[in-house]
Amino acid sequence: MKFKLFYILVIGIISCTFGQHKSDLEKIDSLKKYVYNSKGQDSTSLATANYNIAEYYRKTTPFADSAFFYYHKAEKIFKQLNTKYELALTLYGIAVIQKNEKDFIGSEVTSIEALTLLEYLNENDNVINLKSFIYNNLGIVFRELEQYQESLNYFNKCIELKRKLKGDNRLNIDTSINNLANTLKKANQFELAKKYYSQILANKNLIRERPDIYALVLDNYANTLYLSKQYDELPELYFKALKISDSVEFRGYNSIIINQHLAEYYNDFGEKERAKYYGYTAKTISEKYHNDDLLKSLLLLSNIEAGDAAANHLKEYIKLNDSLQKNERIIRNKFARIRFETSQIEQENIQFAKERMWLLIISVVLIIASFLLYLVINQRNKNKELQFIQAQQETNEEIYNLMLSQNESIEEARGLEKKRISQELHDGILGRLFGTRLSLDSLNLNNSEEAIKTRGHYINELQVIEQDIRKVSHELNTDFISGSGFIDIIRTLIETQATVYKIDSNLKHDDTIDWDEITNKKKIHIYRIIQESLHNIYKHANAQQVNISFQLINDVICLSIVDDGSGFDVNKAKSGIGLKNMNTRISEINGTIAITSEKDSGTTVTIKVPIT
Amino acid sequence: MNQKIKILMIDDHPMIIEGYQNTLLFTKKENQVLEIDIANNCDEAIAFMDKAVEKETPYHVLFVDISLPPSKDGLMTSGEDLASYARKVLPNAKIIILTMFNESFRIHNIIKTIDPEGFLIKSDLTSSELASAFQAVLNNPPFYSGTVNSFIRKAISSDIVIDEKNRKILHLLSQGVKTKNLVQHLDISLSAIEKRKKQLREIFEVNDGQDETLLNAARDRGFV
Repeated sequence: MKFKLFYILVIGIISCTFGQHKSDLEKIDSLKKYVYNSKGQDSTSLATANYNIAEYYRKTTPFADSAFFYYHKAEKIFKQLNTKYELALTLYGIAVIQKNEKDFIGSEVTSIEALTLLEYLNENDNVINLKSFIYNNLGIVFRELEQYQESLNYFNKCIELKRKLKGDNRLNIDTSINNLANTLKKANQFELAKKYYSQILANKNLIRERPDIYALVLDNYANTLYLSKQYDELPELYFKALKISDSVEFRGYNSIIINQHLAEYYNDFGEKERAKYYGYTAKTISEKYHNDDLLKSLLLLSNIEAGDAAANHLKEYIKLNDSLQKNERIIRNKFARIRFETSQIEQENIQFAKERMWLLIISVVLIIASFLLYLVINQRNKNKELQFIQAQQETNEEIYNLMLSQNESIEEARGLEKKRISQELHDGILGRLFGTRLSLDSLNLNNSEEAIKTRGHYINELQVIEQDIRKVSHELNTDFISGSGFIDIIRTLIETQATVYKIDSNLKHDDTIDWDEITNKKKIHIYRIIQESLHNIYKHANAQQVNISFQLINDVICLSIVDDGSGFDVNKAKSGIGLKNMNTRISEINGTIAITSEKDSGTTVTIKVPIT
Repeated sequence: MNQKIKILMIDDHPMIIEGYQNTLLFTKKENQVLEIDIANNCDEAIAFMDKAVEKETPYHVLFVDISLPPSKDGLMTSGEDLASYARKVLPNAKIIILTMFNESFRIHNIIKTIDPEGFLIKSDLTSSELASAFQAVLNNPPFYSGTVNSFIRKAISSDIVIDEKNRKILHLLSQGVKTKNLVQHLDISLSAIEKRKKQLREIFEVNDGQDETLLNAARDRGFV
């Protein structure tokens, strides 16, 4: 890990030192790739990589928002890791960007946050250095906020800290002093400002080592003279600064301000042509940068020029000002969004958790509901089944009762018959026998011819009585109603159903079937099957005639129900409830059922039930 | 001097009347002249009786069968009713009841309501008994056949007294009529019937509640 860190830092330093714009972008890409590939790797190096990317963006490109994005990423990770120095470093970067984008209040807050972090750390060079940079930043922020006293305090603190540092950092200190002097200049403390500027310019090495800075400081010094209205050395000092600046980079960034100052100076002294020249030069150069400097140049030109040209410059100024402000606002919004997005993600996480909870609750409720639904449906089905069974039992009972009542009526008929025979014996035969006996008895004593003849007559009478008794005996012997009970029930059923359904019916019965020997269960099922069949014929077959016949073949009752209706497809209709019921009933009495049907020529149902 | 005897025989079986006729004709005394009218049903019987009253030639003897088809107007349902009627319109006529019934209830009832001069049970009747009964009724009534006599003796010898309603209950029960259906026959409430049955059980010293036991006890004592 240390190697990686080292590697990243080395790249950072190298690219910082020698990097050009193009190669910087390449470096950023390679670092980005590293970050992309390092998923799941240790977070320290990840954060460091993010930090470095941000640094490149800040220092070498105008993409402040990208820098802010990576700083923010790094900040998050460092916060988690609780590494204070790195975090402070990152926050400093953010503060600088915020300052550059004129979010001064934000920058102040971030800087203070970074400083607070650093308070926890031991004072070593790195910490002191960083602190000084932060103070420097705060100084600039407060200068921009026009709180000059605060600004001066921070610059002083910064310089103090820089002086504490080991090694040669004269240049570094000078930069801060320059900043301090700038604040003083703005605060109209020109004498003090002049003093600090001269202090820097006194450093003979500066013009050799950093001519660009020297040019800037010189310009500032000259401007201070101008502002304090000491025109003795002017505009020579401006020219000197311009010359040095141009020697570093012809018409570079630093030369804008010098040109502006010159234009300002000449304008004051009424040398319009010269003022115009320098004003336009400043404008031309600053157009490359398209920022506040251009704005200043335009304002200056509008002062220098007169009439339409001035008005045009002013218009341009306002337009640019607007667009710059707009940009700033956009950038600031972008920062806010980057920050906000994390909180948004956090909020989303909470939202997710909530949603997950709701999902859980809903699914639990759903499961319970569906379970209950299942129970209800199940219960309902069971109830239906029970009701069906009950209905079945009721009909079975009905048939049973029917058979019982039939039996009763048979019994009654038997009783009546018994009574009739008894009556016949008593009133008819017995009376005649008594009469004959009495007559014979009275004739017994008489042996006359006539008496013998009369006796013969009564003996014949006895023979007649004999025959009568035989007849009665025969009547007793033939059980005129035995076994006809069930078939009577069936006949009644068929006749009543056929009448209701308006179908002609015909019942053929095999008298050899002894229905008394067949169990009630079988009789009930046979009854129900016939009933169901008749119902089906009425409902579906549209038949004119139905023939029902019972036959006994090898101890198997063959019941056939034949209609002349429209018929149906046997295979298709197998699933009907009626047929299912019939099948169940048949299998319960060990029987078989066969249905044959042809379209428009009727249906034949054949049922075979063994007697035993 | 010839004794002219007017007889009305009421029976729905011509064969039986023939038997009576034969017996009487063969066994009558020499001086007796029998004038026999035959009625095969209640209506004919009433007609004969009314005619006899009208002509003032009343019958001397009536042979009445108990089981007869009822009259057309429904007033006469049996020989019993005919006999009662005869007692009213022909007070001097001698009535001989001939019946297949040998149940004690009928016998008791007939004796009570009609008090016939002769009471013969067809099943144990012979021609000689009929002949002697005929003569006895004419000269020295009453004449009851052996079965009737033994029944009367039984009823008298037992110190049990049973009123009409209770007799009828026993009779109907012996016919196989169920207790709950007795209400229709007797015109008394079911609870009254139950009370009477309880009374009967006490009289016959029957302990269990079955009709069968009660009937057996009553049969032994000659009440059924």
